[in-house]
Amino acid sequence: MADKLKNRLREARVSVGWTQAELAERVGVSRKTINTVENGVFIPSTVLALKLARALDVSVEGLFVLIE
Amino acid sequence: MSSDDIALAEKLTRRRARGSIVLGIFFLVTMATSLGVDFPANRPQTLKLAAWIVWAAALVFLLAVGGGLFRGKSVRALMNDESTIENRRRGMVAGFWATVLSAFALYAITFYEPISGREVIRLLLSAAVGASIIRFGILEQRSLGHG
Repeated sequence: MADKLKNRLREARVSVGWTQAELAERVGVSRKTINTVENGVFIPSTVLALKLARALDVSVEGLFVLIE
Repeated sequence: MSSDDIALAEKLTRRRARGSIVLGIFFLVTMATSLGVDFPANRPQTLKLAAWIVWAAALVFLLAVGGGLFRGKSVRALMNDESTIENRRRGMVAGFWATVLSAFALYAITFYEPISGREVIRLLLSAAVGASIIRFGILEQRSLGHG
């Protein structure tokens, strides 16, 4: 399951110039969680995915892509 | 939720990860060195067994609650967010398999050597708690990575 989901969280975060800690603060999670999502170690819940998308002003599909 | 909370939660999470690994290993080593101790009449050894059960309960508490009890609500929430819950779940799965494998091994051993019920409980509980807390600590360390 985990290897079929690609995410562009790091690119989106870097494009707005935030550190992992800054994004974590805006979303209300630990930096560790941002780090694990970016590295594809952890697949976030729907709620967290929506919060990340809202914080970065992109769609959820723009952050997470299923690899067919 | 402030940047101070994020920084404090990160520091405490790092400490918890390291502590989980060290305490888990120490717990298993202590258990291994006290194998065969099952004489209630022997006072020092009874104390050792009592200390072991208190320690086991403390580690279960650490695993279940996650620490940060005397910190603010937001710091506690950060220390137990989604990735921590996932790591805890995976740690407990490791504990489950360690217990199952230990139970199989103990069952085989009983054909050659009698083992008291108390000793079996100690071994199974040690496998469950030790494997869970060590795995949890390792996963947390990995998750923290570099940032």
